Amino acid sequence: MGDFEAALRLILTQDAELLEIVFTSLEISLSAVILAALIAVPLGGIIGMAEFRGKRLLEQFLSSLMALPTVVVGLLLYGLLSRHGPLGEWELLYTPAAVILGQAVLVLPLIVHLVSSAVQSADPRLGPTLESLGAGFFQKLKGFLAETRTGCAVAIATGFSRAIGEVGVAMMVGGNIQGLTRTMTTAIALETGKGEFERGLALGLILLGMAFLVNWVIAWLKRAA
Amino acid sequence: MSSLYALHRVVQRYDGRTVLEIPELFLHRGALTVLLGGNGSGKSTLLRLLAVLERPSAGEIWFDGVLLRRADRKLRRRIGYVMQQPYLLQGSALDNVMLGLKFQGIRRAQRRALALMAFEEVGFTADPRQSVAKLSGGQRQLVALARTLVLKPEVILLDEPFNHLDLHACKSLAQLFVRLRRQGVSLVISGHADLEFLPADERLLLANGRIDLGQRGTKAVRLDRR
Repeated sequence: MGDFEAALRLILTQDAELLEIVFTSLEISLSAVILAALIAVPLGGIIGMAEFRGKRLLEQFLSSLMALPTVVVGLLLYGLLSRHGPLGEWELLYTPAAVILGQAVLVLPLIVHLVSSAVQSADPRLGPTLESLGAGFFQKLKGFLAETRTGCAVAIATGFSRAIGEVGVAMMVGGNIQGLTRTMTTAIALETGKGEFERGLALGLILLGMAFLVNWVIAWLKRAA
Repeated sequence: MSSLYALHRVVQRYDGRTVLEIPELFLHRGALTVLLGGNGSGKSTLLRLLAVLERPSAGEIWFDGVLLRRADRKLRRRIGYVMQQPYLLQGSALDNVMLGLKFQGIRRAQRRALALMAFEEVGFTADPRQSVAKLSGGQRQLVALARTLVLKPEVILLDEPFNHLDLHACKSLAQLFVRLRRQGVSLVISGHADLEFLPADERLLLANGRIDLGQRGTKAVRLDRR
């Protein structure tokens, strides 16, 4: 009970270190989701909209990538970004950019899959309607994404939820550097290891609050649709 | 009248089942053609083929001397299509009617002016700025028609356009079709066997995916002589 009270006190007194970690986490995960969404939303829209050979196989592949363990992504990215790796020259390892890149890679298939599903669940008359009005390929894509915007928003929110809660990528390519790459999840692991249970608990409570908030937004979007 | 559409040995199959089989058919430019038939007779399939929204399983469809394979945007702009239960995109009735013009890159002020004229032409009297979610079935049909008309296509394909309309609206729509025909627009209108109020140039009866040649044009001749 004492740890819980201390954790609450840290949150209510807006402890500077705690806030720094929360804001670093938000900055990294929001950047990662924006980066991933810029690629994943149109890509998911195209996959959902177009009919092509191997579409089902591609969807199954994307679906399996959704369950990709975060440490595997972290490991692969570490291999690419480490000094002797193919992208070692970029010197991104242990920087926020590396974590952003890693989280973007992690949530990209998730957003692609969910956007593709949303587009495929659109009214079957939508495509013929847009075509008969003379829409070109990208106008049609825009039309599909606009009509399924709630589903796309749910996909992005789900992506954010996965990014903010992951620990493997942030730990492996971020290095848990205070004020730079220390996210809520890596800080929880560190603080708990150090025996600073109340700090870990405070961050856990904030993370839980965010998860509830994102889920509430997703549920609200689904209801609105 | 010259031929706008020419169909040769057209067959359409879904999952191996033949739903349409037309050995030969010519649809004339500037004509009002009525396509009659019951449910599942193949009317909607034929209209979708003419609208280049589907490709036939076999055979050839020619439009104005061009073999239809894949419709490019230029060709699509010449063919208007209003489906049986039109899909209206989220937003207002005005947004829907302006959409095709937006695809053509026309400026907003001009889009708006053209859309309002199209609303007037089809007899849509409700506020065009209201959400499509609030429109009745008949109003939705009129919005879909205005959305097509505003693009000034050469041919308009209408799949059972009178379905959701009351008698008064049916009459005004029929008058609109006659007006369009006079302006040189070709029309292909499908319906059940109750479109005798339409002064068609040709009536085609479809049954089980085939055109009943015995019925072709007979009623049209009678109507034209009235």
